[in-house]
Amino acid sequence: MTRINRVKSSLIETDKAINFVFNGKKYFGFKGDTLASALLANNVKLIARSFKYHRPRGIVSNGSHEPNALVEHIHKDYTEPNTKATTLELYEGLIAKSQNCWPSVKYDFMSINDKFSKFIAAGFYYKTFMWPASFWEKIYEPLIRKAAGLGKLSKRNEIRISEKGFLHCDLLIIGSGPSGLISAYIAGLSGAKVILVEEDYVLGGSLNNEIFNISNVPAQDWVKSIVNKIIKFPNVKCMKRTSVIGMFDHNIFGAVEKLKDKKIHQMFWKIRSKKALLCSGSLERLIPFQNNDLPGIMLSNSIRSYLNRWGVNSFKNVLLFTNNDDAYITAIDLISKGITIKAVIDTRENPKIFDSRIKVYKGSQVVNTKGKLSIEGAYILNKKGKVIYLKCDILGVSGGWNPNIQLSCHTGVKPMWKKKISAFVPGENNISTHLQAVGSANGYFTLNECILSSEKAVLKILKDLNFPSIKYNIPSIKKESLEIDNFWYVTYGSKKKWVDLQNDVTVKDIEIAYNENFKSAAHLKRYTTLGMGTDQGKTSNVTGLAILASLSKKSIQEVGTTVYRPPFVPVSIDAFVGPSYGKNFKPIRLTPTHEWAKNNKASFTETGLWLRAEWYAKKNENNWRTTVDREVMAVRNSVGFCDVSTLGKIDIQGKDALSFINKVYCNNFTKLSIGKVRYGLMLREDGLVMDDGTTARMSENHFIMTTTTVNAESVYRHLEFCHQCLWPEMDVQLISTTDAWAQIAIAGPNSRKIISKIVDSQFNVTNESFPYMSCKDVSVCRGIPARLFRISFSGELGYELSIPTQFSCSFASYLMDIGKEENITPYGTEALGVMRIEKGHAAGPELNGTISPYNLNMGKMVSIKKDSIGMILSRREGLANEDGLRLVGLMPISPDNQIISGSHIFNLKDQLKPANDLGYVTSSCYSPTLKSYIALGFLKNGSNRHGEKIKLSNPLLKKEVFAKVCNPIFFDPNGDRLRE
Amino acid sequence: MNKRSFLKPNIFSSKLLIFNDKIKLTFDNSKNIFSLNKAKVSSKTFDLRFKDSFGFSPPSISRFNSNKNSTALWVRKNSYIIMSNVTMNKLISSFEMLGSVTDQTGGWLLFKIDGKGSFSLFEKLLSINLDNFSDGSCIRTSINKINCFVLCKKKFQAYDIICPISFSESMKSRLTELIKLT
Repeated sequence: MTRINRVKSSLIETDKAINFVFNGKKYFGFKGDTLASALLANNVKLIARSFKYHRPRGIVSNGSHEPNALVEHIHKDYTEPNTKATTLELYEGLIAKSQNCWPSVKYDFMSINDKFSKFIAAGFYYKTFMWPASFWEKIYEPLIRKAAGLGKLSKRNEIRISEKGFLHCDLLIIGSGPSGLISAYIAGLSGAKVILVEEDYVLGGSLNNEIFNISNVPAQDWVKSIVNKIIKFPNVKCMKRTSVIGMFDHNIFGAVEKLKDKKIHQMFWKIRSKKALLCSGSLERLIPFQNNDLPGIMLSNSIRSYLNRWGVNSFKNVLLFTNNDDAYITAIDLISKGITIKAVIDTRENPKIFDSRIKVYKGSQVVNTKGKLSIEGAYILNKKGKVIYLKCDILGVSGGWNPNIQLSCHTGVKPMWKKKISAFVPGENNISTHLQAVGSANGYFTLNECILSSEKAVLKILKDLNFPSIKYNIPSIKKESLEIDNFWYVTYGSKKKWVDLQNDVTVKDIEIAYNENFKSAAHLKRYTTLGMGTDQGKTSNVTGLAILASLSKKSIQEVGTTVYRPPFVPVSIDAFVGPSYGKNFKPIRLTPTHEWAKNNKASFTETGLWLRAEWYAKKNENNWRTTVDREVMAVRNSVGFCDVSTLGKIDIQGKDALSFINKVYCNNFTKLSIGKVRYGLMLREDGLVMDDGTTARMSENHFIMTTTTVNAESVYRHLEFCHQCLWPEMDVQLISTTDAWAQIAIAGPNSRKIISKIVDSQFNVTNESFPYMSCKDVSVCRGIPARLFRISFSGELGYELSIPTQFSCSFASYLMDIGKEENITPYGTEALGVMRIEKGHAAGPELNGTISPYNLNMGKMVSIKKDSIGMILSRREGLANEDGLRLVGLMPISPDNQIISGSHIFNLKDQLKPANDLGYVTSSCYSPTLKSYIALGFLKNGSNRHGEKIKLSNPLLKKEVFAKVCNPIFFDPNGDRLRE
Repeated sequence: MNKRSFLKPNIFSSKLLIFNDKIKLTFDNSKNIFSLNKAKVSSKTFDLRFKDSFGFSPPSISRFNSNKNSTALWVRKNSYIIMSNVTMNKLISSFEMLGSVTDQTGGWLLFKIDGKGSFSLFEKLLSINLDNFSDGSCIRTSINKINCFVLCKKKFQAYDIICPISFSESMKSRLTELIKLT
């Protein structure tokens, strides 16, 4: 293994080679490399094709602001498009490929777009595809959609494991450059709980790119030394590979952590901090000139970082183009490593002389470049107005620095223009007192300023948080300054000058937008797509605004900027989803007899969060209807049992329990005696039905209320509200016992025989001693405490038995054993539903939130002799109208005609239009008892229309059925079977 | 439980679900569970009776008290959950006229989490600041969208989750899955 194109760097382990594949070709890099650094060291400059014109593009930067080098990363578990080669940490076996090109990045068919670029400039879509209108949906849009987009989604069944978590701290420090490290160190000493977040995989930020000395040691060594101290603080948590993506209300920050060599691939953290320091540094920007997008044209500072941090010296002849002092540091570092600096092209007339070995073209500009797939040379317009040509293999550009202020804008604060540094900084007077920007994120571009401003800020925060002041030594740094020329773009030449490399936006595009009156920053962005995409214009936004300002003859402050929104870096959707998909999307609730039902071949259905047995198919029953019909007839003819534990059960105790119940139910409970059960109707404040159920009086001050399955939580919450807010003076205690008791309905003419076998002998369950609507505490199966209720949802002689949950599966098996003689049959929710429709009981489809007691034919149940919730408003004219909707039964004229739930009801002769709509069908089923389809529904003036023929229309299914209106109680209307 | 009956209850005593060098997860439903609600009576009488019954005073807000036989946690004002060997009948006779007792045995499943990996697990499950969730604290919260109670028995080391039995399979699945990943 040779170390070609490498010089020594303390951050690269050249004894640990790593193999990787790019575009099908094998390469190697070293531990510590990114994909970008390894590719540069392997002399690979052509990485991708541009978004719109498919122009060849290479690496521009060294971090998450990279606009060009987007690749498809093919991980063993997942594929991620638009991965920045500049942030992708190299690992053994990494596979990546170029995107946005076909058949290869070198020969891209779609590069033909570039030849026609004159015709497809900004706004082209809006103007061209307007006619003929009929072409838009069928031709234009599909074509544009096919051509558009960055990268492709993988079609693999991928397993990227994402989790979510919560962190808390006194101080969150975002960024681990000089400001972040100093702040973390000082805060760590004070004992504050600190979280230091860094998006890179090494701490140190921009200092890792430098070779100057801090406190007489090289910057990288100083970083290692202070990091070693910081990580030893038990109160400081350092999080590498973590990007803070947004600041949200209530001091919460979102952060995405990429985990290496762990089972979890990424974590989405919600970090709640008392204070936060934004130490996110600043980013260098480009200067647009003709053909400034060729591979080999990079940010000057990034060239320095590839050299100093990653030890890449594949550059032979370097040219630098700058409007500020920083490019000279790059030049000096390159010279120190033996690399030829052809020249520095400086837009300034009299820049400071940094090193006599550097040839400087003062007052000059790079106006064009030469090269096809990478840069070969550049044309320079010198001070005298003459264009000269210089050969080079790398051109570094430094157009000044933009503080990374994005997070400071997330709470809606607008940035402020700082003329001295030609950049936006967080608005000092407006910035959230919670988040404070320091160092170069706040416009302090020299190291000295960075460290001093950070020290001041962190000490103030620690004082505010009541942490003690501590002694520490600030590192000694040579004072330096950074001078910048207000030079934004090269006006010379008419060829394309790229402003936003990711979106292929040129100076000309901005001029077109301006000329077409898109003059505000927000309009410019939408019209040209400047600042969109995965980099969100980190290297281009301010330059674009400067060009707009120049065109409109305004200052940049006057033009303003768009306000940055989260996320700071692209986040894959699965990070937000975390584990909440598949079985973790929502929890499921299992009934007490679930295991037994599973073993007895039950099919299950979801009822809210519950999983309930829908039916129990026997061998040879291939149709669910056959099974359900059998189950219904078994109950009607002998006996069956069903787990109804999902019904809400609320234990109500206390001296005022009866008065309380009497207030929440609209019907009268005052005369409910001990050992009796009563049906209750609960109304909302507006008089509509909230829920129904039964309430049993077990003793003087002890009641058990049941609710429907779906309203179990809301009724309990409602009762708590009534108790805590409306009548706090009442001595009532409420406890939900839904999970504690298994409730088994045993129904059918033979149900008493079964109950007699179960209940211990001392309890008498004859009709005389335990009549319909009775309840009592009993014991079953030799001493198991239980509660027996003689109530029925099926319309048969029936009981509901509550037993402790732990015994439920054993009890179900026991029932099957002792019921053999009666051919006891387990039945599911479907048979239960059929029997309740036959009996005309209202359930979920009828209690749909729009229904009054009058609609249910229960208007007379609302007692006017007492006050109860909803009583007054239930008597509103609109709800109590005689000709309002009434619950009716519906039987098809032809018994085999299925009635569809949701069908609308019309008079036979009326046209099917909304004005003639008379009501709707709520529930329907096939009744094996009546040997006909039947249904329940609400019909205007329905109680007076029994016997009339109507038509039922389902426009969605295009189905019409003729039916007869009848009593909603189809089966045993007098209730004789219940009382047998 | 009644020993004469032929019905077999599903009772688990510290049944091991998953175990590694960092964490141990067991579940348990062997104790009787009751809701104890104070009626509108003198606090002093109720508190004395409470201490007589369980050997400790009623827990204060967001706390739990426990000894070898019983654990009592604060649920809301005047309301406690008791996990104990004490029987329903004994409790009813002790608190007659002072409050109400509701049998919840079998309605909840107790997940016990122990080990140095507990913190790493709970920072992914709970939104609260675990630094402030000290020994003897309890909260009513939601884990994986499941309403439950979490008790801190030893900070960063040992926690109990009291989960409604109907949700226990979902909770079990989530906890074991996360422990395997963490």
